[in-house]
Amino acid sequence: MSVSHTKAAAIAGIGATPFSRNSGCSEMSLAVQAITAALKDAGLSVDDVNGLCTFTSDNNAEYEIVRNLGIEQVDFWARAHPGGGGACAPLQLAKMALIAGEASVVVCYRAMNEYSQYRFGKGYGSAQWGTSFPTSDAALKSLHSVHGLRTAAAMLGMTMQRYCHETGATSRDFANVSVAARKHAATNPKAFFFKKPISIEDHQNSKLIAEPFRLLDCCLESDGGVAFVVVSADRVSDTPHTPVWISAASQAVAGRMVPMTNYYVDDITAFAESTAVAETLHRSSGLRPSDIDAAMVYDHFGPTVLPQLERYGFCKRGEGKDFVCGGNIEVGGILPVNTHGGQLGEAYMHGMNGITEAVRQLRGCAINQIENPKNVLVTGALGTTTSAAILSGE
Amino acid sequence: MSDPAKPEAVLSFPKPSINDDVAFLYEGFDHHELLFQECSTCNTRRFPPTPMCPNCGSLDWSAQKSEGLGSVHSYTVQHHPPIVPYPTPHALLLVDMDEGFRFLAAYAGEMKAISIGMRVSMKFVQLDDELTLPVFEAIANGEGSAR
Repeated sequence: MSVSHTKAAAIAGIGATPFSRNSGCSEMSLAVQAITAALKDAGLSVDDVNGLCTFTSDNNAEYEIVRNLGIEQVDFWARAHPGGGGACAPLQLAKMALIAGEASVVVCYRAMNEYSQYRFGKGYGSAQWGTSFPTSDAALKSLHSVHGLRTAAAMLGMTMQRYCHETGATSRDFANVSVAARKHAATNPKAFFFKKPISIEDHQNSKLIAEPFRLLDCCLESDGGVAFVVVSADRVSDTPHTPVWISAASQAVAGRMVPMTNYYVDDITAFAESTAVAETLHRSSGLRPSDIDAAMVYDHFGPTVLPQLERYGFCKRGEGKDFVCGGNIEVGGILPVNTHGGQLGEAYMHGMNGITEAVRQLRGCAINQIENPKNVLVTGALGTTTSAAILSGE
Repeated sequence: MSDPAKPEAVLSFPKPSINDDVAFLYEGFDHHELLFQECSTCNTRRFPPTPMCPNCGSLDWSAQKSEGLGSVHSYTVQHHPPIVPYPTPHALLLVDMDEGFRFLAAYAGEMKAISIGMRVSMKFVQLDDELTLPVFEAIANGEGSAR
């Protein structure tokens, strides 16, 4: 996309259900509650919606959303694969549909009873991860799962252990990410860990999950729904809030990768897909890392924030451990990260809550508001097919 | 609905998904052999298995036998959740095999001994009635040194 498309699509509304470990309602109920809230926030009605985007891992079919909300007609829908890595991909899909004229109001949604109904943390082999039909993807996963590699923590632990070996980063360095997230969550009433900050020592004393990851490196597991409304430039005037422009949104698979277990490339900590997305964002938005005022960095595992900060250009390769020290990534620091508490502190929503937090920051209404931000980076998960976006205020 | 918070609600051992691209690997395990693909056109070695050579596009390949020796590229030790049928904690090694490909398998040995660069060899264990798998073991200094 060219620079001229930086003001082609805007997030005009955001909505979410409460985040919990037991929603007490169906995933469809969560989805329509979040979407209804987002449309209300955007000052639009269900009749305005003509496009839908979500993730392949979402269980709420588009036609069911249409029927449940009572939308008359939808002309465009698309899914990003699979969840966390593609966190920002619905933004790209929605923006493309708007530029192409296939839709004018696109609702993006993600709703799941992740904790109460399945729990990804249990690992591959549970119904949500596996398949009995031997697709190439399932056959590839089996090459690892038979040996007992079945959790996301162990899959990325393998990669991050090598990262530690190469950069000298330690578990104590990783603690800075968790401490910052929990500090931000502590003042966020919507966060699961509201009023529950942690210390470096709390992190260091938490139990090992999959080395080098400790419990307090791992994201929450959550029930909830998040939605936002993306509108074309000519519909912005119909909405009440300051528009939040999708200056750029991109996704990538690169370097013959295997998602989550990218073990067969020469350099397993290159994260070439993140570098590719970063370059696309900077090229298509015209914005540099120095133009970014805050970052919502995907934190399925807090330690992965370090290499992401490197790949998105805030520091050099291997310097993430120094960058996250000294409050640099806290509100008031040089690059506030996950000001809502992230998925370590607020909720695990496949990164969608990072997007809504970026919108709040750019509107000036975040609970941990930073001073007059112009551009916020949001990223999808590291170590898999990934995505990211730069969102901008007026 | 079972209580998802309880570990016993976790997982049984998943039968591997086996298709035409990976079947030779499991057949090799049954004969206590670790096999990898070598392209018959450009001779590029590859793992994990793919139907087409990503280097030259050839569909022709042969299965080559690994000696099972290599050096640890990375590792993780899993402490939670329990992973049946393996003991807890359970270590996994990602190994640079001497033949020039990378392979992941479980580790049988002293957890504290694991380090990146450590030399390992391979043995085969019968996991259940249907599945035989390779596992890595540490080898003493001097034995099986890298070629």
